[in-house]
Amino acid sequence: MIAALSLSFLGIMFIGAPIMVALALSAVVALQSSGRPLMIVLQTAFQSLDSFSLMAIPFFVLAGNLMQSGGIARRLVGLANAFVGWIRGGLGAVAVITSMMFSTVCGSSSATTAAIGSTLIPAMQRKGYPKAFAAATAAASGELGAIIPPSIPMVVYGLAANVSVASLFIAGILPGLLITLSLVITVCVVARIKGFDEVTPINLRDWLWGIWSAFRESILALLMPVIILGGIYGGFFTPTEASCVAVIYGLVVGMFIYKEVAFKDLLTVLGRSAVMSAIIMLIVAFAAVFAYLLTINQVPQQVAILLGKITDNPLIFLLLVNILLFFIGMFVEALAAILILAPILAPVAVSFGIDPIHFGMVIIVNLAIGMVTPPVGVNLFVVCQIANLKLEQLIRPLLIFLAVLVINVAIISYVPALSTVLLGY
Amino acid sequence: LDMNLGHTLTLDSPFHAGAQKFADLLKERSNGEINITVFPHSQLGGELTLIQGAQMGTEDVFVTGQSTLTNTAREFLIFDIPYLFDSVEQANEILNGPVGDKFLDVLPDYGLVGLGWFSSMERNVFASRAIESADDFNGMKLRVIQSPGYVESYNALGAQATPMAYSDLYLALQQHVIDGADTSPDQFVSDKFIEVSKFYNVTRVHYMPALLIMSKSRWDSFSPEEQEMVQGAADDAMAHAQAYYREVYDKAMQEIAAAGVTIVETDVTSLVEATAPVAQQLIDQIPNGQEFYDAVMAAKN
Amino acid sequence: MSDKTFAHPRYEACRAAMAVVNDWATKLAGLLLGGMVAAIAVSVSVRLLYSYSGIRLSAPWTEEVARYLMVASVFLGGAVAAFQKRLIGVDAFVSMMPSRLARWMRAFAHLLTLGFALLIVWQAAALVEFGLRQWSPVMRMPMAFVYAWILLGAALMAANTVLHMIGEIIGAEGLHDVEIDEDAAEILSHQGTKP
Ligand code: NA
Ligand code: NA
Repeated sequence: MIAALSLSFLGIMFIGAPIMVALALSAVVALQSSGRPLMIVLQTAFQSLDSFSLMAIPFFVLAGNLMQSGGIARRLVGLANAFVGWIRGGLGAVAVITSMMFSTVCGSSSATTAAIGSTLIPAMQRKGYPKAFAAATAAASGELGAIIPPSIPMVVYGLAANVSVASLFIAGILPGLLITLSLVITVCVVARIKGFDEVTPINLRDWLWGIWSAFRESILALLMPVIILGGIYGGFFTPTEASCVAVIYGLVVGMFIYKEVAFKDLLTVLGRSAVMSAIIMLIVAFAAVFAYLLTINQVPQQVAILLGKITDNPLIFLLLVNILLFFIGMFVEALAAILILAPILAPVAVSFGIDPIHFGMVIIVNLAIGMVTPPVGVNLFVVCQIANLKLEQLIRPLLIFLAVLVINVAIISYVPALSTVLLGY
Repeated sequence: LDMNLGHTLTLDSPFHAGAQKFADLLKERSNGEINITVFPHSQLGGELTLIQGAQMGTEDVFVTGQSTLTNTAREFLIFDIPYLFDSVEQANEILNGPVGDKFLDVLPDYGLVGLGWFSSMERNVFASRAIESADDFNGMKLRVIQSPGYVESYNALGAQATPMAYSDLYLALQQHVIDGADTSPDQFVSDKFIEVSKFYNVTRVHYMPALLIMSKSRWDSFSPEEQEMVQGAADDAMAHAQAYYREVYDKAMQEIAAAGVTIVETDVTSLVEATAPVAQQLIDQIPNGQEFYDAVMAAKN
Repeated sequence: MSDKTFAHPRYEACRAAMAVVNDWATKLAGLLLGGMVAAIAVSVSVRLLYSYSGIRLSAPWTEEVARYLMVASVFLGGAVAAFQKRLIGVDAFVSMMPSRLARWMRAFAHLLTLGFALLIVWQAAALVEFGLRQWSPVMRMPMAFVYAWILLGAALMAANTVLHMIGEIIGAEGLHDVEIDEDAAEILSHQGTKP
């Protein structure tokens, strides 16, 4: 049955049918071959959608769209540029840092990539960056959207592995900063070696003044993460409700303060967000059917036994998991991969003595890299659209970033404190 | 013959103890012919899905609390009535007898076969404050089961019944987004709410029964002899589960006290009074509601 | 698109009609999403009012309403995504094939998607019938009202997929292939209006 399930899944996926179709139809094949009723497909999909916690996905998508439309993203770029725009590789660093800031309000990697890339790829090109390198920078730093809280993949992981979403959010802060820092360094080093992005001399007074005026411009945008995180930890609302508060805040700022969203645009933004979230949620729903079949066939237990046979060393276990995740991340969309793998791997990790929150970070950071690995990488699709590039043109500049990201995963895997130290506070 | 049995609680819960006992007994008595795999932790889905699945023939056997069953079989709304029973023992005794059978007998109409009753679970309010009498509920935000009898009972007590995902509950309590919630002592401990609550108030508003249920299509596929064997295994397993609940109840109360949570023996007189009007509201929502209610009340005496 | 000539006028007419239907479906899905926001906003407000002003309101229905609106919005939005060919899939393998073969593979992928949509239509219909006797926990609303949205969304998805499949077979589809990520599309549309 498992062979029928996986072979038909791969077959349907390689024909080019949507992933949700591959998930559902391979489940049908597996159910059929074991003589179980097909109704399980829609029942299970419905049940997984009928979840309050999952509501954070459409809400964060909507909030992100409102912020893009409402001028919040543009203001964050202005602020980052005022800080580091003047050094060599500065504009690339701006892209990374702005992605990090945008990630504190946006839960999605692809939305972060789109928001930052659309503004900064053209700007980087004007400053002499090779187009492919600019696009690769935006794609790689876009993955911060999933690692810096709030994060849709973390919400999904929390549900799938039954761990606290709030703890995952906190665990993401230091790894997110580590990845930000390493990407900034990468961009600056490459800019120096290749000799693009000249230095603009600036005196201290102008620098401070620039920061101050950009800060005033973007104060409302900066307030948003304060309100969201403050609201959660101040006891005003739960993380799921916070996504709704983010929507309302984005709406109020975009419509009444920046006045960049007109009332007549509202239905358009809502409709677009509904379709965007539907694309994600349908994969979530039908991945649940796939996961159900793995569960009733006790695949998690078998994988656990297998891994236990291969090694009893948690360090080697983490290495094996990372290799597995990297390859799966190349082909499978991150949320679908989390939903299928988390319930299987998380209990095994715990039995190896690995902290479940730390293990969640390993999975999320690794699968976030999957968003920038060909052939299936959402962030890559986004920047290819923005920069009008073909996927293969991106590969060479991307390799540098991939190498850096893989080193980050290794650090995050083998230094659990990075993920867990803040949880003590 | 392989069957799956799903429930929503942990491995050390009474649900799991009863379900696993049922599986073991049946395997033994059928000489290994009937194999049941028990899936805890909602692995086969939540209670709503399990009920629906069994009705449509996609699930074989499952455990559910009564409150979820009311969405399908309204007769079970009777158990949403506050202060319907006086104790776990009384509730179990009534449900193990003819009144319990009267309720089980409605299930085949819904495509289900009730095999028996787990222990009723005493649901108390854990909170950031002590509840000595009904007045103490005033101004409290409580997360309760989303079933009309629960929502209306706590609103009648002057609290606010706040909807909230169970997964958000721990953090919401920790951050004081809400003031409390209701659950049985064993789940209070196993779901770690013990870490984020100051008081465990023994309010006893509801004794929630739980049931072992088989899909009717699966039941009908058995011969009369097999049905008798299944029923016998279920009876013994439920007796085991009822005794097990008493054990974990006592153990949980000890752990609660040991963890420094104050156990408050609430004087329920004022609570009974405040929630009295809820009973008739619920009875009116049930077909033959009065008949079922009267049967329970008659059995109490 | 205006400079392209269409060789299949009847197909184009069908496509234009479906575009209108999907436009309405998008708006409807958007309204459902707006409803979700409103319901949760009510829930949070009612609780905060209770805490800070003592106004004794209770809105236990909010969570349930929001969840069912989400289910409805997802299946409707999924149908629109099928029309816009935005459902995430792997076409790396297909695009390595020679163009004639690739066209037939895409048509076959649409056939599979159609099979999926019809499966959901059939199962949703069964759930609707079943849902007449099953009630939602808080509002005591027959669940058939929720399942009916799934039926509607899946039916629209089936219709959209038939359209694409025919387009692929008669060779009219390539003209419309605008493979654009949703987020990028959103941004690019704004770049046009706001420099
Ligand atoms: Na984020
Ligand atoms: Na990838």
